[in-house]
Amino acid sequence: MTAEILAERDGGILRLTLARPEAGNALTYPMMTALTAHLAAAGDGPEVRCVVVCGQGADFCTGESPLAEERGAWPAALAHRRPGGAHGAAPLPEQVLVRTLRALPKPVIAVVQGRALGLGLDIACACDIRLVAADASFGDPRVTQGRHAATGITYVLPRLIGLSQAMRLSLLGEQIDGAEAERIGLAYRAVPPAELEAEAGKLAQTVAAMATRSYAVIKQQIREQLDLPYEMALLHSLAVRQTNVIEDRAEGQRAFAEKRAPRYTGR
Amino acid sequence: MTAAPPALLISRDGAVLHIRFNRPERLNALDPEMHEQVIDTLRAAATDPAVRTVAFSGEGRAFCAGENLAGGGRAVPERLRPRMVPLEIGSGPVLLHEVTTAIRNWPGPVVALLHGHALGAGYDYATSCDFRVVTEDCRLGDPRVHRALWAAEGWSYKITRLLAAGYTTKLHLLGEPLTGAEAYRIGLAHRLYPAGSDLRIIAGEFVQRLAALPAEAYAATKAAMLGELDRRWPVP
Repeated sequence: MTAEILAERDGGILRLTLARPEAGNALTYPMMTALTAHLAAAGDGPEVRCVVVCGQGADFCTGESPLAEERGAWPAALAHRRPGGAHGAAPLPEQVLVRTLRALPKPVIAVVQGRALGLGLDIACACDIRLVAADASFGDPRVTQGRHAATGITYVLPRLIGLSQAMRLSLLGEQIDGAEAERIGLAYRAVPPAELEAEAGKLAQTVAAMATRSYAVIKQQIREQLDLPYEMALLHSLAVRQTNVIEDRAEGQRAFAEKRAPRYTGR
Repeated sequence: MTAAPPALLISRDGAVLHIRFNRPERLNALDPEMHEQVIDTLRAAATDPAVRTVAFSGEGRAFCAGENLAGGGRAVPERLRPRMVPLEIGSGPVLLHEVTTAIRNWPGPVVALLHGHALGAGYDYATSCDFRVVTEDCRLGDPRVHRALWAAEGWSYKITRLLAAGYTTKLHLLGEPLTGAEAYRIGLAHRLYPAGSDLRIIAGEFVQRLAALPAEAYAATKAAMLGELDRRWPVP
């Protein structure tokens, strides 16, 4: 695995850091492969209760590495799906990364400072919670570069913030700061840049102590019901409920009866 | 021994049918019989031409703080058991589906007057109505995740359409209620009044205005909007 993705565990918190700061954390193929693998592993088992995705240095992530020769080796797992032809490689590694992140059955927090552009915006939007520096910048410059995104952002963004603001970002290529991202509902919270790291640590601790399987079920309901008609959404909710028996629920009941804070295990 | 006071106070004010939760000693926590009575009341009102608007509100300090989970879970009367799904604890939310769907599909304007708390099932009722009137200090949200619970009555469908999925982070995943002022700012609430207001009085003109809207045009427009949320363009 590449040294440009750092994975650190602290109790139930897994911190994944994009570590190519000299290039604005632009992603290479080996970075995408490593990030995907760490995420997939975090989804298994009860140990990881909260994933934090962040960037080293000044930026969160400025996209994929712009120069093809800098992108490194195409992921071996996708070798048979690399099309030839004049318009370059398909965005399959990007799609696999975004899909894995979005469907992860654990809480995921994006901690954003500096720029989150293009694929960086895709990654931030695939996380559940965006905690951002007030002076961070969000945007999708692909349209202004004569490219278009094929990583699901055209699906996600209208549902995440409404079509009106999504068009502003995706079609105008306008960049907005963290405070504006909070105003339009893209960011959970914007904080002064100097406080970002401390706030992120506190939030991760809080989230990791929650009933994280209930959290995961709620997340599944939200995500999958974006595409379901009303009556089907109700049935989906029942089905999800019936197929998830959560140990923490009994602890929740006991804590309520005993008027104390619950001690959840994420089981 | 005197009989317990009715759990719902139902009254008429012109063409407005007021349904007022009346369990102030438990912040109007709802139980299955209250859901059942709301369903029956809405059904009767839908065919009564004199009723043009339904307004939900709560007696005492809150609109509704959730479902009544006190006393080791919800006691379900035998006649309602077929409308509940047995689950690993207590009983399932089919009756809550029924009541929130009855509110959502009621043909005329339905408005929730929210003060104090509108949490859990109270939030489900509020987000099923067409309009929400709030006091600025009202707490509106879904704290179920903190009890290792979640609701299955359809909020996850509704809130992403009423607003956008971004707001689910705070409301549902982190279980942080909004204040009435925040709900108004982000467009979830339609009228905002100072803390301590009696909403039935101060919002009376707004509620009467809803009742004066042309009933057939309202019903057709509402049905089209709700139906077309689930349809693809072009609309047939």
